[in-house]
Amino acid sequence: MEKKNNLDEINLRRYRKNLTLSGQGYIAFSVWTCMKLFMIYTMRREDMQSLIDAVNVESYDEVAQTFVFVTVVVVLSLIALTSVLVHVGIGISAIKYSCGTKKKRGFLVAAGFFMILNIIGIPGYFINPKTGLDTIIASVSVDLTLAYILFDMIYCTGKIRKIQQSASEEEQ
Amino acid sequence: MQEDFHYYATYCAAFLAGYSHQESLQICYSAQFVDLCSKTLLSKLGAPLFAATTQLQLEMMDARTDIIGLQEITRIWASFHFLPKDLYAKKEKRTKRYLSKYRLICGPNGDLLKKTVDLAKNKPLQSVGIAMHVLADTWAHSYFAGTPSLVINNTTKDFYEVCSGPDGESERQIRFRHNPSEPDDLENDIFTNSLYQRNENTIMNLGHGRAGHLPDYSFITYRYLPAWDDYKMIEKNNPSDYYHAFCQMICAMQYLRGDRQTFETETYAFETAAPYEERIRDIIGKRQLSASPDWKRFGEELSGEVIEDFDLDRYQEEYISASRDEKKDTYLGKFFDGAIAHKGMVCGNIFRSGNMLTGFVAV
Repeated sequence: MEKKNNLDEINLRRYRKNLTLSGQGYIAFSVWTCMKLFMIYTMRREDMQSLIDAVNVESYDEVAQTFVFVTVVVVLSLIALTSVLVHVGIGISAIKYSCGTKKKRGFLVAAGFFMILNIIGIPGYFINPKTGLDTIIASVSVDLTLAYILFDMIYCTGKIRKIQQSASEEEQ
Repeated sequence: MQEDFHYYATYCAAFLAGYSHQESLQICYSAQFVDLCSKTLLSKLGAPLFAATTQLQLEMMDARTDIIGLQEITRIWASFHFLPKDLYAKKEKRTKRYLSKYRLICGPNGDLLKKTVDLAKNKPLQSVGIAMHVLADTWAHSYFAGTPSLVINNTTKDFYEVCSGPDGESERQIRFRHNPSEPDDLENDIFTNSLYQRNENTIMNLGHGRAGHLPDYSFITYRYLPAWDDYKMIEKNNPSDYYHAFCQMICAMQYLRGDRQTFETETYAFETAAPYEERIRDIIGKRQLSASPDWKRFGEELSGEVIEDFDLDRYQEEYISASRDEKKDTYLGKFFDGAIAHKGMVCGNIFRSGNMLTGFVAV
């Protein structure tokens, strides 16, 4: 039992549990991302209109205008879908790694990329704010939480890797 | 623990402690009756409801889990089945709410155990039986608390049976299912446990529900990850624990009979059990759902008398037909008095420790 309860084993269980939670949290955020994009597409019609107008549709006939509109909707939907799938993929990879069913750590690259993206995007809320303070606070809180989840994911994966390496070295 | 230990093994321990066959029968009946004395039964008998020592599954389905309901549940389960080991246990960086549950974790040889045995001194045999039930359960139900709590009683998939063989020690994964109508599958290590519920106070997180009946089987040794011990694994060696429980019961009953001057925790009547140690360890270590036939055979060999099977109705008519003034002198009347006294003692101690989970009990 002493071997089961040495510090490395205890930490390994702790980091694995944390990594599972981070993975689950990131998957939960994919639902939030999906909802956010849906709300932007359906409730901020001015933005959508400006996107369609950018193609200068007024000079086109009716068929071409419909084609442009459908294309814009399809492209935006694909972007939303990709975003959700990436979130889910990272989350599932983290959970699999924590369970020991996945050895590769490629998901950390995407996790690091999104974490940096989240952090550098935060000042943008305060430069020329287009929304009220309450919306800014809510958005910043969400982004900071997301960044923390990703940081924890990277940190725990690193720690697990380190403990496993030292254990295999000891065995050799 | 189940009928095999609370009834038949308690009979054997009582007889070895020096009680007569009839006295031993009364003690073991009382010990087993603790697992059956529900409010439903008390209502049927017209007895005081505060004497309830257990809750039926149907009663628990109806039980509220607001603070009043939680106190009612905790009063019963912490007093009779999960006697707290240390009401003043400390754990750093924890809230008072957490500590109030953490301090109810059951374990053997706590201060309350000594108080339980002392309370039964110079009392009827029914009180002795109640004390023996509580004592035995402190061993079987160690590491779980008699209050609904996810953060204390939850378990994970890290659950293994420890098997000893010619090649040394090995681990077998234990699997759980949630079908209460299916008996536990000992061959394939499949056991029934309660459902995982995220709600902290749900009845599914009461006691050892999340570990199924594993704590109730004397033969099994298992390792698991409790929710409260900061990612440390616990090994529960039931064969050893049950033998200690048996020897401690003998010791406690020798004290209650007056054959010992004092009862101290961490003392066991190993010398009294020694001539039968191999036999007792064989019964405890046998892989089976119920050891009742083996304990019964052993008890009958010890006393040379027939041990009647437990019959829930045995004393009910006596209690129902007794007049109001005579009820307290009946077998069940004495049991109810003992149960109320014990519950009051345990809950009073919990309340005085600053823990509100059993509420204020004035007995």
